[in-house]
Amino acid sequence: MPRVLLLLSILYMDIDILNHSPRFENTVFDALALSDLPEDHFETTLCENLRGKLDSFQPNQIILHAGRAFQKHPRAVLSALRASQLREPALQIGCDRSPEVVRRYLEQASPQEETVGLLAVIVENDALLELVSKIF
Amino acid sequence: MSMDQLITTILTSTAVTSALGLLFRVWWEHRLRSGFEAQLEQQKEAHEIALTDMQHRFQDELERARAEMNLQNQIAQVLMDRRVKFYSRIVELVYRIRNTLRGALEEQVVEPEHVTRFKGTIDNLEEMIFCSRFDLERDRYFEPVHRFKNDAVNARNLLLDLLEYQQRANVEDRELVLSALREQYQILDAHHTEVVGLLSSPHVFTGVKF
Repeated sequence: MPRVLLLLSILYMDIDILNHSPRFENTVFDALALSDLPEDHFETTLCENLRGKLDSFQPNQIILHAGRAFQKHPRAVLSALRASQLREPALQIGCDRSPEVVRRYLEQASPQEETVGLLAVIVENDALLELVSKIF
Repeated sequence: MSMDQLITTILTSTAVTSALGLLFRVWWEHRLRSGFEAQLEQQKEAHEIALTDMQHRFQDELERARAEMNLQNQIAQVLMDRRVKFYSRIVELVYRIRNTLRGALEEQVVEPEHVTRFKGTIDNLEEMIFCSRFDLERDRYFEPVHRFKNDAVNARNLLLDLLEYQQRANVEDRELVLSALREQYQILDAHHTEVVGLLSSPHVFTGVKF
């Protein structure tokens, strides 16, 4: 049974609706809100929370919502996701925005730093794209 | 020396002394006046120069302040125009989302194209939020508008579930989803009122918080 962790800006999305949906009968959802994390230790706390979710929820996929919270800390979020992927190599990470948009967010946040390595964290395949379009 | 001669000498000396005194006084007064007048003239000139300089500086500062004020007014006008344009569009989309959902609940039957249109309206709202995010953040309207958008996404997911149960002819679960959708509508309707109130407030059109 696929297990999907949603990385949202804020927990306004009702996860219960998705977990009871006939459209996702074989999928279990959980969510993590980026806006709940402290600004001063954002990346460290996100890594800890993601580690916690990897242990307790054991997701196969993480879907990132590239909203306001992500736009504030794109590099920290993608670095934390990269660390999660290194820990769980089978983990697939998708996003509700195209890699092009994510690259723009990265460049806006820190124009001098490289983006290619971090962008590689996000996978684009038909299954993930379909899942994203059904959720958001 | 006789008394007459003595008196004459005294009177003559007195007269000469008085005349000399008078002459000295006139000379001294003239000298003083000339000195004062020259100083006065110098000071007058210095003051006039200082005054002219001050006038020029004041004029420059006034021009600068006027130019700055004009620029600020122009910026405020551009911001106001942009805000009015985007906020009006957001209010329109918020109305449309609320009314579409109300229509679906009244009819109790959902067609796939209704859900597609509903999703399209939410996508447009999301785009508008993205375009006006700086104005929304500055006005502190981002949270309520973003929350409304998520209410709409939740409602859309319920509509899709409703459609799914309709197609499966699963009446019982369909009723459950319909009930959840009614609850979601109540939340969305309340947030709709808040968003419309905020984005149509006089502040949007005047820039002044009342």
